[in-house]
Amino acid sequence: MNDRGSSRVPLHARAVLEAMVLTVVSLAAGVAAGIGLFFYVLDGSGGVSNGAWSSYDGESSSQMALDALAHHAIYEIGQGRAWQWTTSTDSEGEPLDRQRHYRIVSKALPARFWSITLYDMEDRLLPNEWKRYSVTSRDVVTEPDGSFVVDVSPTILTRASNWIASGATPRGDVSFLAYLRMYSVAPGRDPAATDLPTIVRLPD
Amino acid sequence: MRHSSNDAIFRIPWPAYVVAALVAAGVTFSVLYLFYPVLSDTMATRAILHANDGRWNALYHAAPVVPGAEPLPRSSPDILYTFAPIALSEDPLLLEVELRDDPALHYWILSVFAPDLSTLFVTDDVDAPGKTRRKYAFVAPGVSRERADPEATLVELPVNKALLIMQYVPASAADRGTVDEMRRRSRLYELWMKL
Repeated sequence: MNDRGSSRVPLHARAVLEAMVLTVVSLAAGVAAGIGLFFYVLDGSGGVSNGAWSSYDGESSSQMALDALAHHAIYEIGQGRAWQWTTSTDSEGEPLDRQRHYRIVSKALPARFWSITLYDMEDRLLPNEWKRYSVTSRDVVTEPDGSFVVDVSPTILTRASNWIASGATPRGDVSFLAYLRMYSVAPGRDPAATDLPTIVRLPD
Repeated sequence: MRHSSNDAIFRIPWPAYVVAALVAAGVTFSVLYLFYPVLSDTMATRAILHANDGRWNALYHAAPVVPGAEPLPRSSPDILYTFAPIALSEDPLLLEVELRDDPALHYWILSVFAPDLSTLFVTDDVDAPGKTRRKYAFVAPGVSRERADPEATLVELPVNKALLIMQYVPASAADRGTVDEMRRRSRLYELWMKL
């Protein structure tokens, strides 16, 4: 019956139809691949890396990288004077997890003012009952040489002055970003060669 | 089943489909690469304007940043933000900021960005410590310097539209009120309005 049904369509018409369908499919696949490739390149383009941290400093970053930030309306870079570093992994390269306990260890940072703030993957603060979203140079407790240790964990720790809450687990998404702002960085510093904090995951 | 020679005409060899897909991918990537900056500029400017009720050349003092009320992505809870989308005409745009030499204010930084995020101007308390009142005159390309306020620091911007951001870091949470008062005394106006 199929043979009889299909035999009603001329063979050359079927061939044309087949060619059209395959052409549309291949073009659609090509467009999808082009879009995918563009956003892949966009997300990974430009910037400066230093350990787990990456930055866009407004001078060495590619225009495409800046476009990616502009797309998200993240307007916080300042030529040379202000560095903004972000990481979504610890110093071993493992994704940051809100349910884990991390220790941020740093030498004195060469900035007039700095802060470390945690965000979810959509760039929003991590809500928590203690309202501990960040630590700053203004209120962190340091050693005499300016070095410091900050803990990140979902629940309050005894050393609350140097602690950021990673918040309750929301809707199953446990990943987060750490964001380091450094303002009025000492002139002449190389962003890629400056000692930045390490983020070490502590045993559960 | 054998195909006639007519059918063979319509049978395209499979490598041709692969080539078509590659060409489509390349063209799509190129078009996005060329036009994305325009698109992202528009989106970023729109985000700022939305926060400022669509007003250009007007200061918008964002409320202290708390979860769920961030004025922009990745806003800092330790900083008070003041924004202004600026559109320069033939008249200089003057910014008067009061930055009292007050222990309540730990740090401040003023930046001007192009819509594509290029930094056009940046200054902070390290540049002029101790001064309490600062005046900046932003002028568009080609505008005569003589038209600007002689008391103001002249800032020539290479673009007509930009985004101004003031960031104030209070010395403590208790000092936010003092700093908030301080920033609300800032003024942004076109020079002709003052004459």
